[in-house]
Amino acid sequence: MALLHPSTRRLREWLETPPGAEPDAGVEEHVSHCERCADELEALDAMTAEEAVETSEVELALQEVLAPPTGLEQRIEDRIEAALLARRDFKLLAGLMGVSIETARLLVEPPEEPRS
Amino acid sequence: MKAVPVSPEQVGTTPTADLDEAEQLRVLVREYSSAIYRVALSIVRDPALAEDVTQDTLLKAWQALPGFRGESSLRSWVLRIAHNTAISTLRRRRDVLADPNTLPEREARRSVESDAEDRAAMAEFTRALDELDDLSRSIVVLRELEHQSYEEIAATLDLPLPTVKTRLFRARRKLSHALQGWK
Repeated sequence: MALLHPSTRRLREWLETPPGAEPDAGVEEHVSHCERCADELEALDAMTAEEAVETSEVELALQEVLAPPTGLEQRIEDRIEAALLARRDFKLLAGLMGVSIETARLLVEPPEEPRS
Repeated sequence: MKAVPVSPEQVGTTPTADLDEAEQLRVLVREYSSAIYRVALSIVRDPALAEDVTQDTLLKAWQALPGFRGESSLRSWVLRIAHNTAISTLRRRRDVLADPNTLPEREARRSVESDAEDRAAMAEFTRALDELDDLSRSIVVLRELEHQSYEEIAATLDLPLPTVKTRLFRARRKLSHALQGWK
């Protein structure tokens, strides 16, 4: 880590490196570890009213592109049940299905039919 | 296995109770599935894989719950497991797929195509999100969608505070820039 802190101008230039352009590697390395420069960047990043709107738009856009699909929770519960079935975890399965351990075992491993 | 007490702070609105194992698992699924999925999808970029990561994370968290020492919030702890699980899943996937561009398109990307006006802007935003490194994507999701503090993010991802701040500021700038065409 460099001993000298980057100037405010260099910090601002690093912060505002246009997309596709290479950021200043020296500044990049320094700010990853320097509390003082992180605080200065935080101040530089302090939001104006316009930037506050931008942040809220980033949040909205993230909500859209990372939205969980409909029925996620139920699907995950079903998949976990299936995984526990495969593991023969009868105790937990019984709890999830709301039945006794013996019933869960019978549901998973029904007794063999007697041979005639 | 003995039931582990789960406090309201740890699970949000769930009443305090010594829950049995099945109920603990249900609480984890109910409280954290969506947050885990968002963190997972931001890293693996594939909805089906993100569901796999969500399932794996919940099972890992449930199994490790007796060892949870409460040094962070349960939410941070679960999201840390999600982040690590997603990263290792992605590494395995990248080992299989020599060309990262062969990763499937995101479902969300396709869904916005129904709205022609927003399509280009959202594609630009998605591209900007894809261009961020995995860590920056996690940081921005934890901040913008989970509303974690810088300190919480540092604890969740086991990173120095300056790294969290600087990556977040840069990532937010890039994403904001990508959204300029949306205004």
